[in-house]
Amino acid sequence: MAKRVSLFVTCMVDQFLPKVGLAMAEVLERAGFAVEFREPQTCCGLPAHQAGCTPQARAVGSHFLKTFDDADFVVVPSPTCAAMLGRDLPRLFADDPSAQANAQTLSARVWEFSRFLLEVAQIDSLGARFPHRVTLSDTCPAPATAGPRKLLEGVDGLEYVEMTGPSECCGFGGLFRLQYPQEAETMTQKQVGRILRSGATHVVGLEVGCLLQLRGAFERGQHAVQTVHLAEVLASR
Amino acid sequence: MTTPSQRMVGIAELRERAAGIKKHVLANLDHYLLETEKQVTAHAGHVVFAQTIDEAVDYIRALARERGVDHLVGASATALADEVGALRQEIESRASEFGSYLAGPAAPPDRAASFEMECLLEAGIGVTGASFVLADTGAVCLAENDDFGCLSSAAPKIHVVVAGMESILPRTRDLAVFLRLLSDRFPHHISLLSGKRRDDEMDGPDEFHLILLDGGRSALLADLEKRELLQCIRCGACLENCPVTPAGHPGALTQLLSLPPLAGPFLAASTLCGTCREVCPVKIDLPRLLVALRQDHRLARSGWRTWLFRVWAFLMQRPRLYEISGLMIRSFWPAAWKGQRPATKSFRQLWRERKN
Repeated sequence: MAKRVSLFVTCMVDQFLPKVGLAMAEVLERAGFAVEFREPQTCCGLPAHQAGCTPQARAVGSHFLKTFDDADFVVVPSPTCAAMLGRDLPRLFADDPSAQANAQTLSARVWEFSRFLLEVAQIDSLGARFPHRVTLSDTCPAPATAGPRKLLEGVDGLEYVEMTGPSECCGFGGLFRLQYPQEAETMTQKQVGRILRSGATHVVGLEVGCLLQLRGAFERGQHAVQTVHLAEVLASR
Repeated sequence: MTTPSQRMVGIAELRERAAGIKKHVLANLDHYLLETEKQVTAHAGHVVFAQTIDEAVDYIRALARERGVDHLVGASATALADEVGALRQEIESRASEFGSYLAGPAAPPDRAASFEMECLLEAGIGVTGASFVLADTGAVCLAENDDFGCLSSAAPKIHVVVAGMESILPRTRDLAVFLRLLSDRFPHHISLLSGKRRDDEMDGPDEFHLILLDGGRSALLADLEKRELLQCIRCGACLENCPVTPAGHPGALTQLLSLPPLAGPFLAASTLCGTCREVCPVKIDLPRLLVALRQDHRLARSGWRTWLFRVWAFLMQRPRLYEISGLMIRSFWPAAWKGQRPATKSFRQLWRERKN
């Protein structure tokens, strides 16, 4: 019987880029998993956690724990949400050992999409075809990692170009871009410059917030570069 | 037999060791403070514990009065960057014709070398800030960009060293780890100084005073969640690499690294991208601490943001309400924000359609 995988699509994908969720489901099905979507899911609690509103983060985190209580694998198309669920959430229950133990059990079953493919599914090629020149915009909480690059290597027709200079934060940072729009824009423009100089026609990301931030900048600057999530590249034929 | 190159330790392992040494010192600080005092005293130096930087300044002031000293010189105290203000004032207030003189970041770039030398020779007391204090020998390590600290310790009759009490390292050999981690940050003059001039030595001060400064450090030490901040060796790597700083904002790190850490409005000025954590030579989890500090700030005063998150958390625990709110937000999305425009249909809508 096929192994069961639960999608946690994140509130950002749900509301802003649902095609990323669909692409992720398709890739996982193609990899032989039985994919389910649990309707009661909402958000991981990260915005409140980052703002220091711990009681609220804990309440929303508890809702996640309740929703996915008996899940085998929870796969998330976002490194930041995956880090929130896999690393930070148990810490929020420091004063309640049994709740913390419960959170830890589920946290260990939360996987960021690309890591799940490489480490659990152990698949690095899915017969995807994406005949474009592509660069990768690394997502912040993780340092530049080989994983997503390895997955891109297995894509037919894809020409990979590395950005010149280190990839830096794109300036999204959740509430940061609302509170410091000018600073965020300066950071975004820096990253946009690096992407343009790479000569890529498509920039691949793992994080929907960053992709939205970059998409906005490309549209405003009337650049033809397309933003795509890794799942979309792996799902395309 | 291992070759020297095989014995060279990679940066990753050095960071691991440095963090380990710092954690060990912080867990046993009472022991190392006493050990340092014993060793400095054995080298005919004086050790003073100062609760605040003002206490340290008072001590220097009293010392100057007792010894009839008019001129003080101070050398850049990189390791005490935040606290050096009060010292600077004290030194500047004693400025006479030659002026007392504080080298370091605040010094005018065109300062004449001869002026410096005159100050040094006139000065009765030289004040320096130590980067590290070595518990096994009672020596202090001055790590600086120029040689002014080294000279300030050699020419005046009295040398006063100020050091944060967390800057103690157990053994002199630990410098092999820490100086290598500092060395790619800025070019150095490294001085290792212990006690006063001995009879068979050419130069050096007649008196050596080490002021070990608390300045909020013991309170931070008792705070298990934030104790990690005391691992900081004030190298500045996090600030240099923070992407927010060049974008025109001092950023949240400056507040986090103050002693004590300041819970204020700038705390929001970080995307928590984690670059600081990656470059920190002693592996401080700065983003985690930033969030912890934001937490303290929220607990201290709940503003509009807290209320916003209360409403948000209420919705996020009720999937139906969440879905309706999402639909409304997507329908009334301001046209001006079209770069971040939401989708027409949510994922859950599309998923239902896909299944049917």
